[in-house]
Order: sequence, then C-alpha cells, then structure tokens
Amino acid sequence: MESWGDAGARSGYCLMHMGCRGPATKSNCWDVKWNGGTNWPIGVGHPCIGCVTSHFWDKQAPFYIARDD
Amino acid sequence: MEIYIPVITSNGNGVANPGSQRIVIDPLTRIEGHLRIEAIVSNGKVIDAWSSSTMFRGMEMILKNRDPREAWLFTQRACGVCTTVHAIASVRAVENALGITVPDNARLIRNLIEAAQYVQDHVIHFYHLHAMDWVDVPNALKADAAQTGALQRSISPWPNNSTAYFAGVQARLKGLVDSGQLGIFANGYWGHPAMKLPPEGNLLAVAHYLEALDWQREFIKIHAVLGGKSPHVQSYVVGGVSAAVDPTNPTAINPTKIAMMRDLVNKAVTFVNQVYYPDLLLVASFYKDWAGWGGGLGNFLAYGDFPGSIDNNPANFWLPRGLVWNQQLSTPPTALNPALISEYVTHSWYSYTGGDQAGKHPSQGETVPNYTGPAAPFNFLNTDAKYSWLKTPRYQDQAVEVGPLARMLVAYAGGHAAVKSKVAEALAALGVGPAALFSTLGRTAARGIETVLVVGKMAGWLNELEANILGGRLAVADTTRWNPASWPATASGWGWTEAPRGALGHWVNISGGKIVNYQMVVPTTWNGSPRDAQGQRGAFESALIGTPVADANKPLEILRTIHSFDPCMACAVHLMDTHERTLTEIHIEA
Repeated sequence: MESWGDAGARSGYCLMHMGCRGPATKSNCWDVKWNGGTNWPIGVGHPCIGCVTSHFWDKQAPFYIARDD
Repeated sequence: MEIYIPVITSNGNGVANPGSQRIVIDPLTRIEGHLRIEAIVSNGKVIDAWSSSTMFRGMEMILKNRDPREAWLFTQRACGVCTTVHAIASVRAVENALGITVPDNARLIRNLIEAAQYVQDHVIHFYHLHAMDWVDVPNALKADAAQTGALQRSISPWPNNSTAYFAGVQARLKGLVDSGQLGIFANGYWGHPAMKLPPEGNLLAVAHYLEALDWQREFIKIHAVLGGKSPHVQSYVVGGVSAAVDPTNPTAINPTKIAMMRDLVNKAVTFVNQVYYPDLLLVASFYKDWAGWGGGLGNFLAYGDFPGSIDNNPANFWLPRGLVWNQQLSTPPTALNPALISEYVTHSWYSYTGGDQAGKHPSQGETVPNYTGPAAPFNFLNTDAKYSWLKTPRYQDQAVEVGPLARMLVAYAGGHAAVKSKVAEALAALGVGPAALFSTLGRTAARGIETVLVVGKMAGWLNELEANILGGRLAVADTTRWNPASWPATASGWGWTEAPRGALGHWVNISGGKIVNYQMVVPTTWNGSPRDAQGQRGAFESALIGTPVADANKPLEILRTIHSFDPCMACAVHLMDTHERTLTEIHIEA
C-alpha cells in the first residue's frame, strides 16, 4: 500500500513503503498477535514501529520513512 | 526489585496546634504513578493538605526535533492505563496545526476507541483501584453464601447469583487467606472502623472484582480490532486512522468484524448495567455520609469530546464543552476559551524565565526542572515553597476540577437529556439531592453514570460506521497534508480530548517540519496540582479539607477521596526542555 486506507490497505498489502520496521524487529507478534491472538498493528494497516526493541524510540525511529535496514 | 509499602509517618513536630498531627502517605497506592499526600489532622479531621507528585519523566524533551506525525507514538506511552488518550490529543494537535479534517470513518473509529477506553477504564477503576477503600475483602469470609445470592438477585438480573456460585468464590478467597499471603489483597485496611458493608456485600463485591478482570480482557479486544492491540492502539495517523474499511475484504474492518465488536458491546452493556452500576448503588447506599465529604473546589472544566461532525464543532460533541462555577447547575455552563489556560510553577519544582510568580500559556510553555526539595530521607516537604513535580494548571487563574464529575455536571447544567435523566435516577435511588454530587460519593457515582451512558452510545457509532462501509464511503484518512512538503514553515495547534480522568490538552509548535515545542496539560495535572501563585489549592488538596480520619495510622478516608479522582501520575508528570540543558537523571530500578 502507498497511502492510508487505499485499495492496497483494504487488501492488507505490505507496509514497507509506509516505513514498516517489521523486517528490522525480532518479535513474534506476526504469529502470536495481541489481546489473545486478536490482531496486530499490521492488521490495522499501520507499520510496525519495532516497539519491543530496546530503546526503540531512538533505534527504530523515524517510523514513517521507508528504508532498507 | 523495589517493593512499595505505603509509609505512614505522623509526627506532631512543626505544627502549631496541639492536638494536631501532620501525616504523610507516600506512596499512595492503587493509583497510577507516584503520589504523596501530606495532611494536617486536627481533632479527627483534615484541616489542610498538600499533594505532591514524586517522580518526573521527560516526555516532551524526547519529542524535540522529531516528526510531528510520529509524536502520538511517543506521547501515547505516557501511560498504558490511560492508553489511547495521549495519542488522540497528539494527532488532533497536529491536525489542528496543519488544518486537516479527518473523514467520517476516522471520526467514528476514534469515538469507538475512546468509548471503549472509558468503559474498560472506569470498570477497572471501580473494582480494582477504588473498591478496596469501601470493601473489606477478608470480611467476605464471614458472609452467608445463600444470603449473598439473595442480595445479588435483589439488585440485578445478573445470572451469577446462586448460593453455589458465591460459596465457590468464598472458598477461593479462603484458600488465599489461609495461605497466609494475601497477595493482591495485602496491606488493605481490613477491619477499619470506617468499613460499613455487611459481609454479603463484601463477598458480592469480591466476586465481581474477579469477574471484571475476565470481562475487561474480552471487551478490550475492540481496541485490537480497531487499533491492532491494547494497550497502545496503533491505528491513529495524522489525518485519520490507518485501519482500512471495506464491505467484503477479509483483511479490512468489514461487517464481520463489526458484528464481533457489536457482540462485545452488547456484553459490555449487560455487564455495566447489571454488575458495575448496581454494585455502585449498593455500595453507595452504605456510605451515604460520603455525600458530605470530598467536594472540594466546586469549579469544573470540560473540553468535551466525541465529535458528532467532522468539523469538530463543539456544539456537536456528545459530551459538551464548558465550565461550571461554584456548584451552579441552574445556569448554563460558561463557554471555554483555551487561551485562558495557564500553568504556574510557583510551588512546582521548575523555573520559569521571568520568574515563578506568573503563569504561562502552554503554547509558550517552558519546563526547566529545578528540584529545591529536601534530600532523602526526610519527614516532610517544605510546602511553603516548591513541593511537587506537577505544574499548576489554572483557568482564568482559578483552580478547577476535571474528570467524569466535571463532564456530567457540564452536561447536566447544559440540559443534556440523557445525563440529566441518569443523574436524577441515581440520586433518587440513593435518596439524596443534587448537592450530593459535589462530594467523593458524587464523583464516584458520576464515573458509573458516565460509563452507563458511554457504553450505550457505542452501538450507534458501530451502526454509522457499518452504514458508511456498506454505502461505499471508504475513506479513513485525509492524506493531502501527509507529506511535510505540503506544510507551512511554521504552525501551531491545540489537541484536546476528554480522557477518562478528565480534560487533556496537547499544544504543539512546528517549524521546518519538526517539533520545536510540545506541552501536555493532563487531567491529573489539573486535579493533583499544588498551590498556585496566589496560594489557591488544587482539587485534591481542596477536596481533602474536612475529611474525617478515625486513625491517623490508617488514613483510609483520605484514600477514598483521592481515589475518587482516579489519579494518573504518569500522565500528569512530563516536561520538555527547549534549550537542550542536561537534566538530572533519575533511575528507577524495577
């Protein structure tokens, strides 16, 4: 997807272009999810911010800039 | 790991009146965060009190030079109990600065997230934070299970009402007590003379304490559907929400997910109306004397919330904006002008350029910490000087209270039909008049009344959202100003919300696409504030005056009133330094 709520978002497409930190984050939330397996941020079309990473405010930000690391 | 055991020190030193003693409660427990209360108790009553926040955190300095579109991801983490509220205030502040209007689906999704937060938060507060001030847990072991069932059936149609059910809860409690370690029930004021519930009332409340834990875990899945998870919903974006909606696509918010949320809402309507609200009235009926204590300031402020239109016109808010002064409910609330908000640091551990006697509007806010208090260990703060990490918000230089009571009173005074009706029903059920609203009892009842009303609104917002989706109106965000290249060189804005604990405001100044100043004025900052430059007490301090204290070593009555405000200190304490000064580091080991 390229823009909040676009056709790609409605189909649950990848959030890399929105800045997703998922590939840089070691976590099982894609599998276990949250609130008893109900959902996760990618499921509501918002990129991962790597929030389980130690010092993520400094290590994972900026959150809306797509990059390769 | 540090274990916090409340320290009650009481000492006649330094107090002029014989027969008086100065007591300290630090930390005050069953709140969020770190609060210290000092009070003078004379002839069994509080005659003066001081509220001190004992921790500072540094939220806004972290925001300096960051992308304003990200601010909400940081500010939301001010507190996970009051999750969502600092996110919505932040995105609204940036949307206000940049002139962005969110689409109707975003308005509805945001209303639903906030409403779910109120309902879960207020239920948890009543049972898991406030109840042990009124419910004597070990005393439940003396209850007759059959009579408890009869009591339950007399107050509500809730089906968990059999003798066997209550006997089971009692057996479970007995196992805990017999173990010798009370666990979550340790250190309560069990057996205190001010505990008035019969054993059956205590057993009923303990049963519901446990049921509420299970109920809220399921209910909050609404946040997961709309926001990915809770705490810290992650579907806000500046411009709306990220959560896509679609009539058929399984990955979007679709009618199937709406049906799931509708089911959770229905269960919540039942739980709130058949468990929380009847329990509130039952407990209140044994504590009607608390209609006479804890009133405090009598001035109330609400920003209002739950927009009914995408232009955010306060005239279309479901909870109205305004102020009630001097307990006056027979005249309409006065209009709120956010320019009249200021923060003082006269009695707060901060310095202002230009001196500490004048207040500053949050858009010109400064936060330079300046701890002038005693070095630990110490007995008392010097409350003639600076004594808290909370700043002192004032409106038109007056002290005001915020929270569910403020919202219900502003709505009541403005003629809000649903609020007036429910308030009248509650007062009649308790056999008290409107004067009872201005008290600890009134504040506690207002929280329950508000919960009934808010949970009752959720189905309508779900229906509106579904109608939009089925009608093909699928926009969830205005992205025309997403790119910083579209922004003016400078911009400033105010973001408002009614958090469960009260009026919350964020002020942002943006320059060159980055945050240059950010201030948060939070409900517990208003309520827990120290004195201002004129020595006017804050809401906690004022509410404690006149509170009876049967035993200065077990100041249960002080807890009852402070808990009625539902303090969140983590939200209340925050700061930003715009001048890159090195600040003291405080390490809290856990």
